[in-house]
Amino acid sequence: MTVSGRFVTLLALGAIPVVWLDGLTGLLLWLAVVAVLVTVDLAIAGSPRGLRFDRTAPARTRLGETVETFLLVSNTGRRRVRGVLRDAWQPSAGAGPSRQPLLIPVGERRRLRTALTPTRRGERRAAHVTVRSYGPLRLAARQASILVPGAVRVLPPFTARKHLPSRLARLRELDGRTSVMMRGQGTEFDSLREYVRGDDVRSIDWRATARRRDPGGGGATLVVRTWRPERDRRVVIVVDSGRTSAARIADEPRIDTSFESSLLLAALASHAGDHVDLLVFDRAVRGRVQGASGPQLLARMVDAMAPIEPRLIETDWDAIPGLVRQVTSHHALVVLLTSIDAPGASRGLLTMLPQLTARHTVVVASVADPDVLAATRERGDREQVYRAAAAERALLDGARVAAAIRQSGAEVVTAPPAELPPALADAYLALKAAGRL
Amino acid sequence: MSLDAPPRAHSGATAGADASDGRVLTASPRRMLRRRRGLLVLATAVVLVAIALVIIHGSATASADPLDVTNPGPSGARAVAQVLGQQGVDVIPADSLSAARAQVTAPSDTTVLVYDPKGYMTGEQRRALLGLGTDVVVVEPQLLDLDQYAPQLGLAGARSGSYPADCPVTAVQKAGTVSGTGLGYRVLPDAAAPSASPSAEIITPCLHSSGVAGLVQIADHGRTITILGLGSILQNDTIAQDGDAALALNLLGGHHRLIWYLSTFADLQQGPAPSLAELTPAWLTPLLTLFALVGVAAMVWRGRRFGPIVVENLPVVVRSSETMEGRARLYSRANARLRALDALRIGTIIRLARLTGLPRTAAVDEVIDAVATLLGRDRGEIASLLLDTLPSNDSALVQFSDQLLTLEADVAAAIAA
Repeated sequence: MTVSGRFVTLLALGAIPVVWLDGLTGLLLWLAVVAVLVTVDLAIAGSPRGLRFDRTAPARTRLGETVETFLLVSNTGRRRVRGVLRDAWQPSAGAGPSRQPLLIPVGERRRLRTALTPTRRGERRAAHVTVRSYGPLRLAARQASILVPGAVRVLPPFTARKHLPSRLARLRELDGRTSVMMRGQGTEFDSLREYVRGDDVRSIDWRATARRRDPGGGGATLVVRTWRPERDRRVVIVVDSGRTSAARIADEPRIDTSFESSLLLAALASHAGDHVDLLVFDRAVRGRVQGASGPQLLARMVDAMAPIEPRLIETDWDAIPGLVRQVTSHHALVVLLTSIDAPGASRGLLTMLPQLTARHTVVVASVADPDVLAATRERGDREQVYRAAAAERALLDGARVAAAIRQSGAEVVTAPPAELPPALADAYLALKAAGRL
Repeated sequence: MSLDAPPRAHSGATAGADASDGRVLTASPRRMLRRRRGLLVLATAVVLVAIALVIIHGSATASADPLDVTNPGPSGARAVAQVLGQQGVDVIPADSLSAARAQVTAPSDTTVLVYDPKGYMTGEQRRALLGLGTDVVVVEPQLLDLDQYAPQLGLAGARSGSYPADCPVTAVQKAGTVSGTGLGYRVLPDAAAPSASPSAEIITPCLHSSGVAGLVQIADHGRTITILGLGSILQNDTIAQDGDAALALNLLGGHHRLIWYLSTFADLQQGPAPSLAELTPAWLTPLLTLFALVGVAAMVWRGRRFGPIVVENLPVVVRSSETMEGRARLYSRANARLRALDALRIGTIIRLARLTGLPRTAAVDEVIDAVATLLGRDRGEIASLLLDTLPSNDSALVQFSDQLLTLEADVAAAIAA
């Protein structure tokens, strides 16, 4: 039960009878009048407990998009319900409007719309529906909260999608569609075709040319071999969801940048015909996508990523080689999305790396902080110089870790948040072109 | 499923739904009553105990006024009143002159005790009082009071002590020794008395010490006025001392009726100023009560929550540059000028090496040589900037940092040119 502003005003109006009737009589009389009015009002108000709710909400949405959810409210009570309804979603679901007027006659049904604009990825839940049902005088209301659960899974936005077309074009250049003439590591035999002027003479297949010799005795037709990059390689993406991934760089947590990068890489690699597996790991596997291909892959990846939040624990790097071995026993491209900030914090990674590089091609991708880079150039006063010095030291630490990683035989990719996904895609393309997958 | 869950209206459509779907979270009034039963019982018990205490205390209707016959405290006079009552004296309390007058039926068989420490009574009232009974006991009259009661007496200040019976007054004789505190009076010489009384008056001062009497009896035409200066002999805490009780009982128990008159506000016929309650209109208190209620209602109106809060676990998000800022503050607080400059120099050297096309592993001397050659500047000067000079103070540090940036820009320009 609750009261309205009208009730307060009505009570305050009691000042007139109190002064007029000169005292206690007026007060008691007025209180009695108000009490009777409120009782009548409450008695006529329809009970919120007589309402039945049915919620329809889409299962998934992307971060940054707006979705509509609907609430079917049917009145099974004996009196009509008029008042206000609150559809209570979690704050970061961005539900609006938060209060909606409600008027449902007996036995009828209304559909209420709530638009969600989530501000955070993950599982956004609706907890309950609260209805405040006023009487005809709107003096007092009956109020009840009814559990009507619902949830929308907010997927990572994958804004790095915009880089996909240009990278696919470069992939096509590598791929069989523009066949390469050079045989190299990581290429496989594609086809034999006739020599045309401009082809590398070294790619002429003399044995095939001899077999194709025209029986009619015409001019010799030279045959060349074409090659194309190998397909069906394995790419294992390992995203670190430990302590360091919670850090926010350029208003984006590191883990979100990692997800963006891995989505772009997965999209590219699946177009290139490679198998992509995803592991999100800190001390336990938080998300795993294995054996998916084609359009299924990205859908399953975003679904797995959506509810994962960084944990404030140190990542257990020693478990990574074992996990990768579970995924594939063959040579693979292992991409580690983590942070390489300080030699101390990266010790676990550095001691583990040789085990991985012995069997696989390894790329370590890390987000670089543009703030640190900018701080090295700002040297206006004393404080800023000390800040620049600290920034230089941080860069130096990062460079030392990167050098140590390179010494272990792995590649390093660092870039600011917006540029890390394309940079990682480029690194993948470069490795593919070099046939190192 | 909870017992409170209402029947499902459309069970078919949402068959697989959560069993708790549709459960009402808000407790119904009846359930709330049941849940808060313990609290309600406790509150009721507290209220009942409070009422009982008030009733028990109320029956005592204790007054805290000194010499009040209903005051059981040390300064009250309930003891003497009760004993008098047991001895067949009708003790009638009165709080105003008119009340006292209304109680007098037979003046000849009435003792009137009057005590007016605050001086509420006027001279006329005091004069009128003298006509109420044949025996009047005035307890501790003030200086001005004496004009009406006993103009022959003068106030001689406060006194206390133990006094033997030293006069023919019966009550004093029976008491033997009297001890008490209160006021003392002196009999003025006849000439000094402003209204010299007829010689019929017999003034008997008692309980003397150095000419000051603690009790003075004035007999005049069959009427007796007793000025009792030692008021403490009537008080509960001291009445049992020496012969105090005997004096009090004999003094007050001479007639069947005793009017115990304590002067109060009620004697003020025209008060000096009307009280606050009289000045304010009758509706003020109800109006203030109403406003208080309106305030409470407004609090309920604005404060009532629209359903429970929805909780959400937010992820921990730390700014990444926090460690860098922390290190900068450490440098700054420790004045680690050399360490800071070293970091800046290393950064510059690495960038210069990259600009001049030297390998990452190049030694500092090679970089200095390359830069000196490129810019055509003195090698020593560049070496001192990049390597040797120590910053002596903060301004030197800022200066060095600027020079490093200039050097980088120069090298970049020279290479571009």
